[in-house]
Amino acid sequence: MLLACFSCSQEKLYNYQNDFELYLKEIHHLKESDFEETIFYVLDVESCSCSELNFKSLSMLLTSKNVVLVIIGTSKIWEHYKPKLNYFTILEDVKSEIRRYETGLGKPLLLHYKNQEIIYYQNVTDQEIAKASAYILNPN
Amino acid sequence: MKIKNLYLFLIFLLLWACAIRESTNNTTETSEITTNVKIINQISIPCDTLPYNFEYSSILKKDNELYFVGLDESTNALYFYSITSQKFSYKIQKSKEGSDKVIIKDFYIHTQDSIFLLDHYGKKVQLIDSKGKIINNLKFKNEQNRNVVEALSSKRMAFFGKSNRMILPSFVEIEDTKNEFYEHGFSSLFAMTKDSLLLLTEIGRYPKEYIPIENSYYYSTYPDMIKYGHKLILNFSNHHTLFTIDMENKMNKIIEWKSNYLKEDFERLSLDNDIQQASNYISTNGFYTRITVDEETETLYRIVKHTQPLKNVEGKLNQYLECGFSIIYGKLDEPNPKEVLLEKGKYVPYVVHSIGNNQLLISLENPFNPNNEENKLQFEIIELK
Repeated sequence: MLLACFSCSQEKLYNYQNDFELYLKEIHHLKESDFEETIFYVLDVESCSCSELNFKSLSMLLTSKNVVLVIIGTSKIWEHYKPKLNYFTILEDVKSEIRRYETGLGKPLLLHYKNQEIIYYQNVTDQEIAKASAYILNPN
Repeated sequence: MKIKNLYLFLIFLLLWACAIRESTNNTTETSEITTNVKIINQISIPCDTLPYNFEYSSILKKDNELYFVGLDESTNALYFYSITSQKFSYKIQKSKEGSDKVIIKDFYIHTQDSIFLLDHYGKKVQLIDSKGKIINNLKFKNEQNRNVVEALSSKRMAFFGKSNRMILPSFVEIEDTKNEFYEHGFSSLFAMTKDSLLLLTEIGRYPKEYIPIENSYYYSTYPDMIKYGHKLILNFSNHHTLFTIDMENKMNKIIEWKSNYLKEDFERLSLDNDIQQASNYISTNGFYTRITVDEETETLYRIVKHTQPLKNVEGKLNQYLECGFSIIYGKLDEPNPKEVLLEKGKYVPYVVHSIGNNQLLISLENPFNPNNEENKLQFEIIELK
């Protein structure tokens, strides 16, 4: 009982972790085991004019290990880059269902899960795209 | 049976009285609520692979034909859809490469043969004719070191032909959470010569209510601006009063037009908000969004976004375009304007243009509109009298 309460009161590193997981489970049908060792890179290709810069950077990475791209909405830029990024695991949310959840998504979002907890997160501003790519290449 | 009906009637009266009381406690009514949205025409334009979602749009009247003009940033083109003949008409595509390149971020239709295009990050303004042929590339003559020109969908461009003055949206490079931000103007005034734009001054002034207090502010600070004669009308999202501003940077109150659907005071957002808190704030709170004006009849239309709960019955976030909207309208000197409630989830109330004769062209491309057809660009022409 005490342990359970201690666990409840522990602050999460990322405020919107609960709703983000709920979104992935309800919309993309992920399971608990999908949060063991995964880096989620979430991009809204309809609202963010930054998507091309992000795709360019991601397409230059030589690793896709444990990286899941979550693409929100549709756009011509995404259709253009999709074949170049198909070595990543891709989850598409064409209807932007993520907007129904409190996930903290504005600029692209990088969330690194280890043992079902977020150990690193980054709101990827245009100036910090290289930093996000560097993290994917060398996490932890 | 009769007694049962009487009881029901009394309960109804009681509930109605409570509702009225609650309403008067929360709001001060200044406008007359009407329900007479008269639909004049349904416009349905096949668009297949053509764009249908426009953040920047305008209208153009040419040769007895009315066009809806939208900027599609992904193709760097202005699309002209004929409302009169309900079909796509033509587009003006600009090159992103070469010496005459322009990456269109905003546009302003002065006449059918004078269209101004604002380039990315305010690098220049290009003047073109109705076919897209370049008339002039207008370069900025002096450095904008404080208030930098950049497009914003609410702060549109404006050109005053008689005085050759142009107003462009601009941003002072100070965070809007700092009090100092509110000491600066929110647009810049330029003198136009044949091939250049000379910065004269920054213009605009925030009402005192906009200055952050107790670590909170209004978040969406920039006013919606629209040209009216030789002035601009300013519509602040969190202020019931409408203002004008002239070329001498003199700002005057026109009139207070308070929506019946908004409280007297506006909610504020904590200065240390994150993107989700800001998004929730925008979604749940009520405020004024856009204005559009009919210069011939001196009628102004003010769009109002209403409050809504953060979440729906399923516990999911309500979306911006799911909430209620209304339009306040009347002559500019009318102290008691009318206010009409729009059908929920039907329109895109920020894609709305006055087309004269008390009529508005309003987009039906609301993703929550079940009657909106795929591959068609749809509008209604509504009449407000």
